[in-house]
Amino acid sequence: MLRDLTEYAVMNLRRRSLRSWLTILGIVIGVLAIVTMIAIAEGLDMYIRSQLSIFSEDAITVVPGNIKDQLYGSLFGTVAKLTENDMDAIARLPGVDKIGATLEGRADITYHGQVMSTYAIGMDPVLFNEIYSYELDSGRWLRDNERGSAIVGYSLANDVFDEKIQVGRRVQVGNRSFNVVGITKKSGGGIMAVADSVIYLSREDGRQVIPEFTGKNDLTEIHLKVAEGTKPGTVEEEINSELMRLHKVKEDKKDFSVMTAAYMGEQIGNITGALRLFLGGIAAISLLVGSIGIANTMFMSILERTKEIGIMKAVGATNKMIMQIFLIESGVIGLVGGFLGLIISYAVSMLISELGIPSRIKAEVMIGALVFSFFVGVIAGYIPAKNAAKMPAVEALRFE
Amino acid sequence: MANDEGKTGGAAGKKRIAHEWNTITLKGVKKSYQEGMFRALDGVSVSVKKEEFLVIRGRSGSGKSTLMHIMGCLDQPSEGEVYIDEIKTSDMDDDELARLRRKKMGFVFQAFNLIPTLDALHNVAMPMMFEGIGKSEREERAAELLESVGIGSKIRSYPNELSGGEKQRVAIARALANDPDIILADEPTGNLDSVSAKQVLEVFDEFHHKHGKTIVVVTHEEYVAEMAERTLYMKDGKISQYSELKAKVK
Repeated sequence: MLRDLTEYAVMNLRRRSLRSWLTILGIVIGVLAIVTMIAIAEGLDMYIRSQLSIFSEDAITVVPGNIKDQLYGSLFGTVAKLTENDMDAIARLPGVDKIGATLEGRADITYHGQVMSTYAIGMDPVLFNEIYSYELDSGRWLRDNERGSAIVGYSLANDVFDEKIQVGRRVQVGNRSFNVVGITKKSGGGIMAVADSVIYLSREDGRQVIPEFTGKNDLTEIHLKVAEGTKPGTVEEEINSELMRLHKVKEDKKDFSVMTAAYMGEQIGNITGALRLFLGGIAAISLLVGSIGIANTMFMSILERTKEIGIMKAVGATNKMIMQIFLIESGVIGLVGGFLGLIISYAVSMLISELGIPSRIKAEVMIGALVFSFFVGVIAGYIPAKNAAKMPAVEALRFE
Repeated sequence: MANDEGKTGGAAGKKRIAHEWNTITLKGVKKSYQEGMFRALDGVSVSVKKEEFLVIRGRSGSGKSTLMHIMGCLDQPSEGEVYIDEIKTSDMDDDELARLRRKKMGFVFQAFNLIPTLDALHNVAMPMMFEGIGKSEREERAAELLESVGIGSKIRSYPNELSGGEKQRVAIARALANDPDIILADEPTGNLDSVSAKQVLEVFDEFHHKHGKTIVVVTHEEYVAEMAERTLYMKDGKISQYSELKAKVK
């Protein structure tokens, strides 16, 4: 029976093909807008995560300031600081395997008489070797306790100075001369591209040549790796309570943030989730307009077919059958619109990816869009279909 | 198909004699419209015998179409009771009435009321679709019915490609689709020329006599009434006059 009613409903849509297609177009645009917007948000999420994949699961980063305040709109820079005392305290906590810290700031580099202001990072070699998976283009990483050596970012080495910096050359940072022992691999652009323009020194050397750290015991970030078999979450809690004790602050006034891979993932998820909701919400308006189009078409169609409804009732169609016919019609409009919208979204998504905007359509979004557009059709058609079903047979037959 | 029991058609020549039991019974039926402002039926009590050919006559606005709609369970009375084969239908809901119509009734209208986007075959097959009969079976039966009303060559024609008489024969075939006991026709010849009208009436006559269908025809045409076994006249929502059954009830 349902198959017969579906056949009949599809035939009805076909016989008013222009109107059916225009209504379907409304849904196509709605679905296209939603799926594309979600694809962009998903693509962004994927992109940021891939960029941050250098943070391994067992790594923890401690930074000054409350990152939540910074993420959610505080325009004021933090005055909070991390110190070497903090690092020593964390190093003593159980479950901490390796620990290192960075000092990050601007410094002047001189090479063959050219002076450039660039970003210098003084860091414990353990960070390269044990915690993060940076790759080198040539040369080697700094060794433990090695002084007077530098690793140069790919762009800084190749694009900044008239003459390329190569392994074995000497560069001057601040007032000291360093031996270049390695060049980093090109990062491939994106938010990590900044790493290409950085010069890496040992932490001790960094403190001497980066002006803002000279003569202080401040640190920019503390990085650590948890011991095998220890949960990063447990260590995270211990660091939190230890630093709150040292800084004499309570949970709600925390002047530092402890970031695990899970925490970062969660924060990224929050941001891209909000973005997805925002973009999807805007796009949903177009689907709403499309669904009003369906309702309008169905009302029109029912008005035109009042007599036909009367005939069907006279020859024995129940109210439920009439309702099914019209709901199938509106559902099919939604489904076809959803399907076409999806195909076009896929093409658009490929196109914008080509243009450099990351986008990704997940399988669940595809299935969701189809199911959703079908239900949009059914819901939009519900009231018209109910009106049709409740129409008294005699009155419908009399309709001219 | 009608029950063979009680037929006396053979002995009485061509005429068939209705059964003595009632297939449609109306008791004190009133029907008002516009919140009682207009009364279309005003206390009608009438019975239609099984296998009877009944004609309802009357002027426009006399209530004859309303009477047919209530007999055919297309409409419910405002007051009074309706029974189809001893089953009270006046308190049934829409869907129960729809199922009853599908099995028991076939309708033929003055304006044909074919679905313009379906060809003759699919118009006739539609009531069988609602009955849940499979596609091949219903199309086969629809073709047979169209053949039996004399337009077997036009099964793929759409209503706009058919003449008035042909349309009405498609409508009759549709009315017979689920092999109902009762055919109700509202001015079936009203839109037809005399030749077509004659052909359509012959089809009614045949299904009445050969297949024992109960036929109720609303008309104001004298020659249609002549075919009937009984005629009742409507005036101002009441039955004003009966004619006797032409053949004696057994």
